[in-house]
Amino acid sequence: MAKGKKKNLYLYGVLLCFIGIIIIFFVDGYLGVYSTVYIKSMEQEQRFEFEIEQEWKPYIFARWGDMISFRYEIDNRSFFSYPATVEVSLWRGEKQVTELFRENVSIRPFDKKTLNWMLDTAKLEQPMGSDANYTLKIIEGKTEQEFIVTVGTVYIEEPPYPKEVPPPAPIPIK
Amino acid sequence: MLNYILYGFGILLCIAGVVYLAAEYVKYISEWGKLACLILTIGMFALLGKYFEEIGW
Repeated sequence: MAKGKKKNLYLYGVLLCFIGIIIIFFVDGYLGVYSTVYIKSMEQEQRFEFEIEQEWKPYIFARWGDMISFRYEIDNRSFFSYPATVEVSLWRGEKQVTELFRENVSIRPFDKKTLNWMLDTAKLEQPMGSDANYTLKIIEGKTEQEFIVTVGTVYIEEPPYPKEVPPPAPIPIK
Repeated sequence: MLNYILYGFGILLCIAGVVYLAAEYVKYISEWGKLACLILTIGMFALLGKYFEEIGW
């Protein structure tokens, strides 16, 4: 093989490897259906992506009586439409407490869909003494994600000031 | 001389593009995809080394 042709073969190989890396990033990393949930509780918003594996179940903290708002985004980055049923329910142990949301969605290729729902903690049992833990399950098609919802007790604090000042002790007159 | 500068510029832009993709999308790639990318990266640098060896650098 001529030396010039051999050099060009190596360059073509480099180019093919580079194009292969780009294709893998596009097909495996970009294409697909991606779900993200934004949870707003106690004036803080948390973001969870379903595709990224979590080492432990995410926690949501709230005071009893607060409203927790959820915004669920489904991003369909594929060439086909994506039909699914989104079900959200609250559990305590093995018992379902309530169903929060249920909707059938069909998302067109390269389109997004946003779903919103709320959790009113005032409708739950008021925790007495210690915090109450619930499991929030979000099921989208075949995927399921669980969150731990901790509902804290409401403490009524006494104001520190003004405190009642005791009357001065009478001064003995000699 | 200008050719080498243009080649260097092109290579730097390619590397910058791959680094951006890596930062943005590598967390979504499957384990097999990451392995394939690693093998292709090693192959790419190996072939580049062979090319420079052939041209006498």
